[in-house]
Amino acid sequence: MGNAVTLTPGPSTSFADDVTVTSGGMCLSGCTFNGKLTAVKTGSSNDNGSGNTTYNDSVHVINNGTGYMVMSNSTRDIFNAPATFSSNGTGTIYVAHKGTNTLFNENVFLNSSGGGGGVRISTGNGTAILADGKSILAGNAGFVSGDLMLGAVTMSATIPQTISTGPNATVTIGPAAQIACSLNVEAGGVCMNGGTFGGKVSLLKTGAGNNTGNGNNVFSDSLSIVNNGTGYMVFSNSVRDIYNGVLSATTNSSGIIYLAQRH
Amino acid sequence: MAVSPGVSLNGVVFNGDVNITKNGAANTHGSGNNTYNGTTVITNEGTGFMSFSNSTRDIFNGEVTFNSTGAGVLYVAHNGVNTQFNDHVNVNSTSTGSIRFGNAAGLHLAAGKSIRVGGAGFESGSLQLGGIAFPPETLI
Repeated sequence: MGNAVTLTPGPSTSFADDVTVTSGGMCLSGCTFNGKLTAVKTGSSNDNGSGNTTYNDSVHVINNGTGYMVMSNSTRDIFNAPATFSSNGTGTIYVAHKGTNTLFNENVFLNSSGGGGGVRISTGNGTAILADGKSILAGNAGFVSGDLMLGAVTMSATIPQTISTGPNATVTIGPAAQIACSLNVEAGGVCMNGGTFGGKVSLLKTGAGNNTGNGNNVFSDSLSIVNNGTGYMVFSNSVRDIYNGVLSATTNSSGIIYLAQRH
Repeated sequence: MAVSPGVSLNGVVFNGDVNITKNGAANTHGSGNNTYNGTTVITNEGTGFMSFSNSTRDIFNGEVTFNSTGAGVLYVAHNGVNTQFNDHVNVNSTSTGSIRFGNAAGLHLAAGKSIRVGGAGFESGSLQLGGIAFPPETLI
């Protein structure tokens, strides 16, 4: 379909077989996909899918456009198979945006190459739960640029989580993240905007941009901060952080690490 | 072939081919309960909407094509439960209008049949696919 078309599957629609759709706009609202889904957005419209969609096989959502695409703008989605989200244009993909307790019951893969887009999970007051033993990680295409945001996402303690991006991408954790496992982040930029971290946390910044984290983080185990980039890292720019384990902060380049910046 | 500013289809059995164009600004509801046994082409080139099956299901036994060439909306299988499409469904849109299927649940597409973009293309507007149980081997 053309770039000016908005496709809305649902509500109350089910697909028994694999589905591949390409449309300028895409709103996923109240469907059940029992086969694989590949959904490609190509246009400039901003599209709000209400959610309430169940994915029983693998899903790949691709935003090649300049407008954003929201999933779960009101009701949670359920992903029972691997889910991949790829932002290849300047448009952002918002996942688990406003619905409560979107379920990721398999691994989640995130790709971004568009330069200004990215993928944001649970950043609009929605919440998401990652099943025990599963991961949120960069996909095969890589998270080269844009913003990777994990807001109110709950991760259990079973396996460590590693998020790795290119030097032109920024990883933002929080607000309201609940990460019980150990967490390793290596990214161009790192912003810590509020979360509870039960395991060891390692943050490595590699990029040139400046990153300002709001704070409101509780680190229950050790925290390692390394700045290999030329931009600065700010922690606690508005709300205090609490460090209950050993804190290590290292700069290996000209970038500064600011701790307890304002509180 | 019929062309009219407003079209309401209410309880008709069409045994031949049907080609109907709505070209007006009025909004018109068809109550439904129609059976289309031949090939059907419906075009809304007006600015008002046109609904099918506003209360009772329709049955399309032949191939049907819905064209939106104006700003008006085509509501198909709007409120009637279990509208049946027993052959392929083609959708085309070349303006700012839209084609919206299935405000009510239970729209039935026969096995092996498709809802697909027609020859004129779906270049603008919006397409909503609600209330549909797509069987296996169905393409969009």
